[in-house]
Amino acid sequence: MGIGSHITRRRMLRMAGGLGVSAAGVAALAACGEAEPQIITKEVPVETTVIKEVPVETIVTRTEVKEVPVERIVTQEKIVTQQVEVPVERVVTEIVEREKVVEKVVTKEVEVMVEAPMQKAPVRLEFSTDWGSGVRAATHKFMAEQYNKVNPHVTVDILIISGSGGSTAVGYSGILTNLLVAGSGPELMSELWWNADLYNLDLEPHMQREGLTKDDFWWHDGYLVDKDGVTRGVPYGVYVGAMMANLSLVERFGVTIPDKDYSFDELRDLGAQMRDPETNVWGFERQTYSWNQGFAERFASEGAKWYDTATETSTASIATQPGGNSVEAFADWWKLAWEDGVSPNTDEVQATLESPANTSGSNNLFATGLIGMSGFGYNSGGGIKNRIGGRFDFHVFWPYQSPYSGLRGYHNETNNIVVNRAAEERGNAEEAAGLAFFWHGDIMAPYLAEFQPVVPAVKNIWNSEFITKFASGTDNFPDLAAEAEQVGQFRENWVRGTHSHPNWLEWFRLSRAKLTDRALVGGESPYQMMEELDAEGTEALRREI
Amino acid sequence: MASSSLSAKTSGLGAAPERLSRWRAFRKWIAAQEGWVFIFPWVVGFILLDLGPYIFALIISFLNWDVGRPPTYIGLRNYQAAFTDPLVGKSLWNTAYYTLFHVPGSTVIAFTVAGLLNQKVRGMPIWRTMYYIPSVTSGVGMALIWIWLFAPRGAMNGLLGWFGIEGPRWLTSTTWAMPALIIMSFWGVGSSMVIFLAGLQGVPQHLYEAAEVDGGGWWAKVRHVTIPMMTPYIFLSLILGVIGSFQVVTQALLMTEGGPDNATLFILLYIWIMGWNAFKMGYAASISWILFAIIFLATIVQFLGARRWVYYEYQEPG
Repeated sequence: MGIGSHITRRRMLRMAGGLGVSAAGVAALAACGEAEPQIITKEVPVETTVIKEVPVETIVTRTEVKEVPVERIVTQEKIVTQQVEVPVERVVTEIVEREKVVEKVVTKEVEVMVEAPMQKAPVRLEFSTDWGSGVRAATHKFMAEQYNKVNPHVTVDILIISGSGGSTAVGYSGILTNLLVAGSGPELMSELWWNADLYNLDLEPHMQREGLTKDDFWWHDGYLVDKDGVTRGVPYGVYVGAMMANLSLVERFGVTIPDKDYSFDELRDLGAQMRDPETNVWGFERQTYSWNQGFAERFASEGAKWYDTATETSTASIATQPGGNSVEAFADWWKLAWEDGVSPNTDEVQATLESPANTSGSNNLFATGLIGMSGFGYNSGGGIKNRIGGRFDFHVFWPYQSPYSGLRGYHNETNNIVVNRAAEERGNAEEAAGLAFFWHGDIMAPYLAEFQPVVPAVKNIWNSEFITKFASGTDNFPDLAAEAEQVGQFRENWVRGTHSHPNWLEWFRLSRAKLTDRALVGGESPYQMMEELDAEGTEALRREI
Repeated sequence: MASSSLSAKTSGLGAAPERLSRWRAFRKWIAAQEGWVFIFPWVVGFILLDLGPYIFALIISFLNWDVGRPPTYIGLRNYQAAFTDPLVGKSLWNTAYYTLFHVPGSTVIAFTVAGLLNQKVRGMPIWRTMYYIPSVTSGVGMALIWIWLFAPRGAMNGLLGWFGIEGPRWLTSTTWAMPALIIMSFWGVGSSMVIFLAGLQGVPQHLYEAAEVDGGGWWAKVRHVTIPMMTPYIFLSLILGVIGSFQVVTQALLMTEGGPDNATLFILLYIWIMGWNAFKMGYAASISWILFAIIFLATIVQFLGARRWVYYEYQEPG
């Protein structure tokens, strides 16, 4: 049905008429005066939300979820009061506006906005070493991992050069020198001191930055401070030597390990008590190399220098300690194997190593378990312990006193870690120097003290619990290093160091030829060999080239 | 007309051989250039890796240079020092001692083994391989094995013990260290042996038959046929042996480090120590050149002497 069918013209006229009457009525009423209006108030909430962004982020380097104030929400409420017209006499319309502002801070989870430190570019460092196996290789691996944990942007690669032969072998220094000259040397190098002013970084500013002082270290300038007075190395470790005794054999023979002060004669007697030809047990291992209670210690106890740089004279036979006698001290040492029968001579060493009683499979004499006592260096204790492999316990004790000077003798060495000057150009000098000092820090120093690939040169480690974890007896002489500093000889004075003679290698080869090869190993007269060393050594030092 | 035409033809005939000759010369020249092309890689290698270092070594032999710092010119002082250095004398003496025993010894052994391996017996390829293997074995591995063999209670002394002989301390004795290295060197006769073997197989059979016809026995055939025919090979072996002996270093470095008491300090080892341990590069280079002169002289002397005893079957006339 259409709309037109309902609205007729008549009906439209009626409606229009009604409206006209109504309008006329209203006009008449209005003209009669004001009437009380009926007001109906109705609140109509009108909200306007204003969101203001609050900037709090700066540089985002990593993100995490965290509740942080990020928004300030302002709610504006507009209340409108409206007068609704009613069909009364008088209608007044009034609009009242009221604004209500509600402000609240809300939180929500957002991606961080953590103000992080400035992002550091990745750094890769190379650290060269000749430590290629066992506890020593493990130590450098540990160092690399730990440094990376502390400095996530730094990766350390260990560059192993010449796995055997030692850092003083031709292979290590030769290869490293080539790398340095070619400009591709590693950032850090262990045990290399060569043209330090040209290739090694000045470490003084870095020491200051790290808050370290030389007094904290068992320090010697020979490998660490150049002739110009600039510090270009950090000590690598304490190479001082002591003695170790096989506790199984000590118990078996019922002997008492000597305390601090005992003489060479007592050592010899003790060794004789522990000698048992039937089981191929020897009382004492007399080292044939220069240190670890070798001839370097014998010279030191008597106050004999290796050579005198000023007069270019070989002086191994000249003792300077009161009562000292380096020739006799050396001869006594020689006699232990060649006359006293306390120590095995060369052939007997071989026989001991090949003995069925040696079940160690090691070529280290003390580790065979057939040696009562031996000297050792704190740079090799960990290696010996590894070779022993828990087959017997050992005890560490003091070296003996010279019958001539009354002193114990020490071979001292700090060696060094140096930082390649090229690190400055490569932009990683700070990290490289940091790694050098990390060696003696709170992570590495306890590790080194306990496992002893070498004992760190920080002095406080000698009084720490860590060093006593190595073996029994290590807590008996916390001042061993201090005594060694007083009585010992620093290798750096004679071999390769800044104070050594330019012809040190020639002298050193001679000393090994005469004292080690011919006397200690070959059994030739120690007196004659000392004489020959004096004569030929002086000649070698005075050679022009 | 006719004559001029003939003349032109004649001149044309004369020019053809000339052009042909030029063409042949050109081809010959091209062939020569091809030769150069083929040896070009070697020439480049020689200049860069041999001649260059020779000249460099000659230059630095007049310098005081430790690699790190700028060198300084010191004239002939390195050479003067080398001539008065007792260790240069000692190392040269050691090297000569080694050469004196190693070269003849290894030649005789290689010749004998080659003779044995030239027989017609079953499994010969296996025998030949066995004798040749040490020549291609790593020097380091060989050194380690021989350290064990020469140990005071090692296999060598064990062998002597069977004959009631108390063996010496081979590698730690100043007297026996060098003989130990010489004995060890005989282990590596395989290279010379192969040369001799090739030579033996090239000796004409009819010479042996002729000797037999003349009533010659085994020794006569060896003396009058085999050895004369083998002299060029023996000569080559001697030349190479002497040069090689003067360049011995690996065994001494690994087994004795030149000791005991420099008893096995070879000249090349001393050069290396002076260069890479003492960093006296100029000095090391000067000793190298002295060594070169010695080897050069020794080679010339051998060549001069060769005229008296080396027999070449196909000698050039005149």
